[in-house]
Amino acid sequence: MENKDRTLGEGIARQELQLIFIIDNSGSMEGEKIGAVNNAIRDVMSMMPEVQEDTADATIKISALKFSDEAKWVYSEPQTVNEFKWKDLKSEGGTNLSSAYDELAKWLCKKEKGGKMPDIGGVAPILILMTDGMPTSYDWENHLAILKHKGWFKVALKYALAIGIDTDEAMDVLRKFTGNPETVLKVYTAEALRKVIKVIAVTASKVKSNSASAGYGGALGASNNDVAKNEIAEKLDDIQDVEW
Amino acid sequence: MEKIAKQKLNVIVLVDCSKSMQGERIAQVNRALREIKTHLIEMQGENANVDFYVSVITFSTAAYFLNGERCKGVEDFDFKDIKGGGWSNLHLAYEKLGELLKKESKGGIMPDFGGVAPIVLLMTDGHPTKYPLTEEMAALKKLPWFRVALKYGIAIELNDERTKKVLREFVDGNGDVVDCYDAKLLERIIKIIVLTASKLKSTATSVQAGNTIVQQTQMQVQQALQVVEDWEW
Amino acid sequence: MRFRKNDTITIDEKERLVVEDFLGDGGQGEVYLVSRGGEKYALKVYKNEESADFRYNLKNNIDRGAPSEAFLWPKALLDFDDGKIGYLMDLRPKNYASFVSYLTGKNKFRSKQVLLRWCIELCTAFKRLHELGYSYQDLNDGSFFFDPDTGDLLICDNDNVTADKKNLGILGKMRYMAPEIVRGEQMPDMHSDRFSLAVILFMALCLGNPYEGERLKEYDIIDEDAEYEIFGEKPVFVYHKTDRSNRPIRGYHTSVLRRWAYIPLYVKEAFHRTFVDGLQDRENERTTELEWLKVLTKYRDELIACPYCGHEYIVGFSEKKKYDVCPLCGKETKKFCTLHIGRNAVVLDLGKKLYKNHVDKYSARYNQAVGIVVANKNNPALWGIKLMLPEGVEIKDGENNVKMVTGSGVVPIVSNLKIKFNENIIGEIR
Repeated sequence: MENKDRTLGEGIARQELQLIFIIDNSGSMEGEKIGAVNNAIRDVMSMMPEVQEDTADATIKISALKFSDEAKWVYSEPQTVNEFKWKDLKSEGGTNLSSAYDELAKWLCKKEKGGKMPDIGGVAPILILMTDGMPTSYDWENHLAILKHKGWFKVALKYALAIGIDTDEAMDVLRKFTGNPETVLKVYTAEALRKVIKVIAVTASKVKSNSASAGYGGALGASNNDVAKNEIAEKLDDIQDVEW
Repeated sequence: MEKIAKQKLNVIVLVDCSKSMQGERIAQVNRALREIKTHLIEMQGENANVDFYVSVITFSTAAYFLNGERCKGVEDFDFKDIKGGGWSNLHLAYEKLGELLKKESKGGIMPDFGGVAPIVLLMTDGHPTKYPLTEEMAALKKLPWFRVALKYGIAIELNDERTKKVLREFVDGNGDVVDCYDAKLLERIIKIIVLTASKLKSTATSVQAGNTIVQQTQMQVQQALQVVEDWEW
Repeated sequence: MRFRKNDTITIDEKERLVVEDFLGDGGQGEVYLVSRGGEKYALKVYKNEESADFRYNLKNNIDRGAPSEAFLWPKALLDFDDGKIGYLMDLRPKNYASFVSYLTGKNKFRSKQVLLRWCIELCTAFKRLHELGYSYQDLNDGSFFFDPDTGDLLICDNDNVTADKKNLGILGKMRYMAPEIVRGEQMPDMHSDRFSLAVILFMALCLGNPYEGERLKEYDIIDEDAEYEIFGEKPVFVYHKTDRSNRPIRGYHTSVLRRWAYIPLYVKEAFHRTFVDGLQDRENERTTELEWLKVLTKYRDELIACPYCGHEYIVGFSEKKKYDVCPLCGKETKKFCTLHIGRNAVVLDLGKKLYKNHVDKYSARYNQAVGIVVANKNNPALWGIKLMLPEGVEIKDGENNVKMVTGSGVVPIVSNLKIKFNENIIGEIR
């Protein structure tokens, strides 16, 4: 559907907006937690065609990285909204957050460098980490530090969904990923998630199309990213409404 | 009033009303059947699967359909007290039962398609006048509806091995033979069997891994019978 | 029976309950009416000794609390001296009738509008349950209750609810179970819940089972083998688009035949997806609660009542044929104004309500009314939308006259009027 080669130059090429779920399916997620995650992603997927329709200037591509003993991409390539089919994850094994960060770092490189990000242009990706915040790999902070060097990671809009977390220590794992406590959310109903994604998708692509100069590596400039973030934060203010 | 299409569940009761049943025993049977009617009507409104149809065959010297009606919807079933007196010609009751357990299009009372296995209850307090019942039993067993029926036999204050064997043959593993040592409990036993089986078959309660409805029924009837003296419905 | 009237039950010397009545036997356990310090509760006592897993799960559910008010949720766990367990829950309020009594024609919903409200409540409740990561595992006609006047929902028998993909031995009830469960290939989870939910919705809307049709005639007796085939091995949806071998039987499945004809196309598609495609791909082709909510609210938005006979039917925006006349009395369909708002089109019939989801597409409050169509007291020919909003709206008529209406004011229903609910949501009456 959206497989047209962008290099063919047929009019204005649509930007590619990558939405990447990073999902903890370790043993500690067993029970209601993984059930809730599976359900939320499935529901979000059923809403995505509508979000895509409303997002005229970017093609949304979806990827999912699951991690337990090891991290593994559910699809080896980013999928369009219609291609992406969710298969329920089972929970087992350890919580190798380090491996997840490594995989993510590899993914967030230009295609010419073996990654999955466009060589030119592109909108800052959206990263959504879902975990209960109990990594069993103790060196995860080192791996996060490496990941933080990636330009695409820096500009990415990072959100973390806290799944059944009630300790500060676990919360901290998520805060360190997003680098911003405000983007760690405890709401994970489908409506809330859709709102997050939609607001980000629409706002991010808007900011991008308004910006004349491309910043880092052709991606959304860091300053523009702040604009996006502020706009998003404003719009997310009433997100608690969704919960009841 | 619009409603869902339901299946027919036939409850068929064979009552021995020979001379020995006279008095307390037959009175217990009469009370039980009257109450069963009330409960089945209630149960009918509480399940979306089946409607109940009732047949009663009485046998002594001859076998009859009670009121001359072969089968009635439980709400239209008018009960008249059964009286006792005469022989115990069980083989004639078998013949009558055989008439019922055929498709409607072949002169019986069973639906032409999509029926539910009926519940058949046979109660007696003495050995049958004609014995053995080899041919009659063989004739019944040829009928698919008989084979699938959930069958219960009640031996009323009976220590006669021969009659119990007749009941066991009748039930043939698909149900149970129940001893009623004290005629005073007869009413309760009849109610336990008919109502427990009807309830299970009508509401088809949730299946637990590895248990069929027949097994569940047998289990529940047994459980209820263990505490028959305290049992209330 | 374990207890008798006026028995006192004490547990660990701290819990003291007085048995007031025997309420019923639910197979797994017995239910009693008890009082505890002046408050009345229902007490369920299990007949058999339940496993440690079962007890743990029940305790966990009690601790986490009910997913929503629709669930009559276990409130306190009781351990009896002999190792058996039980729990307390609230009593079912008297205004609720059983879903079964609706199926058997003993009770009915006041109107189709109310029936749809109940269906929407049902989907909302299961959406919430699944969002919390639970699966119900044993959806069947016996667990649901309704208020015939309001369409409020109550879900009982919540003791088999567990975390998704965890199982405690219950498989469900035949005719409601998903085929892969009947065949023994899978244990119950969210996806089998969704199958059963669709069966309940089909029964609510069509008064029949989605797999019982002509093929019943192949079986003299519906025994367990037959059920295995009909509901497990080779289920054929009665309204399968291409395989017409199992249509409802004329003269027997009368209600289904009559009702299916007037179900909107998009609702039919949602059923077809679950009952046909959902057999193969249980994870991705079963209509989810969210998707049901979308089509059922649309159905409700489209519903009109015939001014002559009161029959409720749809305008049929997306149907192959328009409903020019009332399907019941044959009189001409009245012309209505329609409010176009976002992706929705609400037909503005008298008594029609606007809901939170119309003015906020991220809202999950599908049954919270924010406006209702009323007639002017002095001039009943004049209709308007009586608002129930915290803030007012801005309206603009065809000549661009702008006016503010307060949150409890009335917006007149006239063609070409624009209603601005907020920056992003602007409705237009056509």
